[in-house]
Amino acid sequence: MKSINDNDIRSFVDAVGSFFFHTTNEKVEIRAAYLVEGEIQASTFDLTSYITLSGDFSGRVYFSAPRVMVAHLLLAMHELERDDDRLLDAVGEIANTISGNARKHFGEAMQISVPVTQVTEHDWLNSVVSPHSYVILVKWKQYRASVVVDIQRTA
Amino acid sequence: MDKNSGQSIFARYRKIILAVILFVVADSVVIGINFYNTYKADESAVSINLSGRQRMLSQRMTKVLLLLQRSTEAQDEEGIVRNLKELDLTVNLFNTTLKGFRDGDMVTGGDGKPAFLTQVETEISRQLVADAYTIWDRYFDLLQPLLKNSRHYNAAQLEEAVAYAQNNNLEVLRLMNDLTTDLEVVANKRANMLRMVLIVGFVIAFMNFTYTVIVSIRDLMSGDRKLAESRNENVEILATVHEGLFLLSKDKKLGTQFSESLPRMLHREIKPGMDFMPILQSMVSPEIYESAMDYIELLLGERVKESLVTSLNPLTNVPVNMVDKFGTVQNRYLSFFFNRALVDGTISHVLVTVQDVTDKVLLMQQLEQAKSKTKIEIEALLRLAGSDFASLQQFIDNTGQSLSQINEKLSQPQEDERARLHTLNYIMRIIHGIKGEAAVLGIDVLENYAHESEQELVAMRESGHGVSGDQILRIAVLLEGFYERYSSLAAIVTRLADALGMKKAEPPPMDGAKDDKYAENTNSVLQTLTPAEPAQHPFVGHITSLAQRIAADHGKQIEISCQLEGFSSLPPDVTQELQGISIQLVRNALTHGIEIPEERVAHNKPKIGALCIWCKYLGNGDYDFSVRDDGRGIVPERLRNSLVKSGRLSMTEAAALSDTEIAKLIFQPGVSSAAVADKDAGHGVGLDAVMEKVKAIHGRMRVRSSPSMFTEFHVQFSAAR
Amino acid sequence: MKTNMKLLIVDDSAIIRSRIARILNDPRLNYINVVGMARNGVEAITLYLQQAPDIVTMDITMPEMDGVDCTEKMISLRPECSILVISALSDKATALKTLKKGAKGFLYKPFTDEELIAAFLELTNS
Repeated sequence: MKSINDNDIRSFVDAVGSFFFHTTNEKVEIRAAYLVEGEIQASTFDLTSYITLSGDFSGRVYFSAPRVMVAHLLLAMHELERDDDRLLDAVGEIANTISGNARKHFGEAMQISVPVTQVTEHDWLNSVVSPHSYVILVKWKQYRASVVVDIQRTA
Repeated sequence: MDKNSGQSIFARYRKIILAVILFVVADSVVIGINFYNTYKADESAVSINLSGRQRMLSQRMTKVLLLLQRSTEAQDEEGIVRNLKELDLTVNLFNTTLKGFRDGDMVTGGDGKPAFLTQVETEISRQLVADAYTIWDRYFDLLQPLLKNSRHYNAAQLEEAVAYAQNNNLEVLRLMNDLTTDLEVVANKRANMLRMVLIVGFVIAFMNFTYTVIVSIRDLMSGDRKLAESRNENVEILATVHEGLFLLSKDKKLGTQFSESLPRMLHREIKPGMDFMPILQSMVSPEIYESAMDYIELLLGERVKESLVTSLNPLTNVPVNMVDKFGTVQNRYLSFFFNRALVDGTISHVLVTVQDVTDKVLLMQQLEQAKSKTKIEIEALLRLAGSDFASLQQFIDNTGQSLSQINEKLSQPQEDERARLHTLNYIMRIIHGIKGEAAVLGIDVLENYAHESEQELVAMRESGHGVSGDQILRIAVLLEGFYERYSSLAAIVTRLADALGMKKAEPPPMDGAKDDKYAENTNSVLQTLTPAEPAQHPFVGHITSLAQRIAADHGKQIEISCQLEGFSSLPPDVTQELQGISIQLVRNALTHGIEIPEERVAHNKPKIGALCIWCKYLGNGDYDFSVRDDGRGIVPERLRNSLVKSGRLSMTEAAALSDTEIAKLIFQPGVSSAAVADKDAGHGVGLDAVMEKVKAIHGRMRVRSSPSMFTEFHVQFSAAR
Repeated sequence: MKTNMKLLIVDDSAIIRSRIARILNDPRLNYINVVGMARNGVEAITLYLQQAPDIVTMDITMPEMDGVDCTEKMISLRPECSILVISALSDKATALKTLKKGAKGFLYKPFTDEELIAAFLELTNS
């Protein structure tokens, strides 16, 4: 009945965490976790990447972060160019890490798409995610980013 | 109270007290008699002694007279003097003693000291003394000239006295002898009497003693027998009961008696007077131990009402760790029951009953597992059917709001542990409230889930490590669990409301404008279960058959859910526009959205597509009209290609637009993504027409879509205008 | 016949509050009169001081001031008051804590009408 559990969700969040930790040696912390419902909506930031899963579970996992945060990340990686392409590359890379972790977590039977990245506006996520998707707000340095898990069990 | 016990003491010991009084009286009498007799015996001893001396004195008188005669004849001066002196002493002593026997007088005793000689008492003695005097009067007269050492006697006088002495010597001797004998007889009689009195006294004392002993022994024995009987009964009970039984004193020590099964049950040696708490401590968890301590102390105290705290007994079905004789740890379940033992209305002990409930608990657990979820839900449904409906609806509303409150709180970033702890407490309170209300209404599904969640949250709070981000995530998952259960419950309640012909519950407090995977369930259930809804608009039938026809034309299979709440009460011009809008959107959905069965299967989707047409009343005159399909969704890439192909956009223009911007273009006239235009879609006129109609009813259009998941069009408008 | 007794109901759930009040209509409990209802500990203390109730039904988990602290406060103000804890609490330890603070009895939610009536009778039977 329960579609996914906290371990499943954590595997995505941990992926984000380990990406930041390995590239900047700084931890990412969960600051809030809630459901998209009614007035309570998903947090969309400037840049968003997502992967699409299908198999026993299907749906998407999104990572959305403000420009300034990704720019700061690039700075920490000693990347000098910080135009949108580079920034999108970075969020795409994070989505790739999520994808890797998801494959490890759910097994090879799961099909996972290549990451899609895009520049997003204020409530873009709300227009694409299903109600009761999980929104996990994470914090890195002084910035907030969101991991949105919109996955249902299909089997 | 005291008087009673005084009386009862007298009654109980009456026999003993009488026996004691009798003993004292009898002994006093015996001692009195004895004392008197002893005194008399002393007197008798003096008399016997002196009468014996008279015997001797009579002989000595005769002998001295004869010696005096010989000394006189032999002219032995020295012998005369000595014998006269001897004679004087002897005669005087005899005379005074005989007088003492006759009258009672002080005389010179056998030891030379004065002694009182009592008058003889018996007739015989008196006669003997009188007889002695008949001889002695003459004898004493004859002896006078010879006394006082005077030498003024003549031979004839001596001759006469000697002759009288010789003649009467034997008679005097006999008389004194007889007197002695008689006195001895009296003394013997008195001794015999004394003996008799002693024997009688002894017999009385002995009987008294025997009686007392018998009475006491009988009482003691009957007491002992009763005691033994009750002890036997106790022992028998304690030996045969399966339960562990023992008394716990106020200082929490074990009593002297306990059932034989107790050591076996507790897996250890038990001795009277042992401290109970350490035994318990070694068996149960520290938390349970702590609670048990509190509970036992409450029972030993006077304040709480026993019957109103038994439900808090922490030692029912409690898992205990026990090491058996092979050294392996056994997990068993025990139940301890505590009952106050009152003496005169105050608590003296607590009676403890221990049961091994392992089998029962395991069975219960198995049953619990065997209870399938559906079964529980059926149960809930049955119970709901019997509940007060207004309360149920209130509960549904409250719970919806509560869950939203939780989610709201969760969505606020928690910067530090204190904030997270605060959040946790806030959420626990809400969940607790849900649990309480669910319990009141007998909604097991939610009550149990709330209970489990609550326990998990308690564990988080009590862990002492603060509340981590991961735990916040866990709470969100728990919340989702609540929503799942809540939604199916809300669906059931709505169904019941319909079935009972009640006013429909408020729309579930989720945003009605948004699709909801559970609300969707709810509504399709509604649709299938209430086909004869009186308010159903004829358009429902129309659009349903239209959709089926279009689907069949395109080789697609669909299931339609159509719920047009309040549609009939809308102004006709509005319904007219809405009909137009829905027809167009349904066409679009069936053409662009829903895939053919093969494609759907290839994408791991159900073969049959789902099409939902809803009209929901949002309150305040606001409505939300929506059409949703679970088809391909709006795929920005395909739109881009289509726009470039149709020449509406150049390659660069198309690339420059974001997906959202591209998506927005579907509302522009002439944009279509259908590969082939047909009557249903593909002309590129659909959505702009829809937009026109939306404008006509002063509505607002929103689209939500997820590639390969769904497309959803919402028209929000107000009928109040 | 028992003299009139004043009851204060403390519970954050409106459903429970009205249910307790309704059960008190039972003729066996006609000597008990509800003099106040409170939604949390703070409200409860205010009413407690105003109305001086003889009996209090006390929920444990409440916002503002919880039942444990509230019981302690009430007993310190007037020890002769009989407090009946009514809670769905899952951990007995907290319930026992409330009893240690001076409450006289405990009743589990959910309860039947009869259970509550029996509890009141027991509580007021000195």
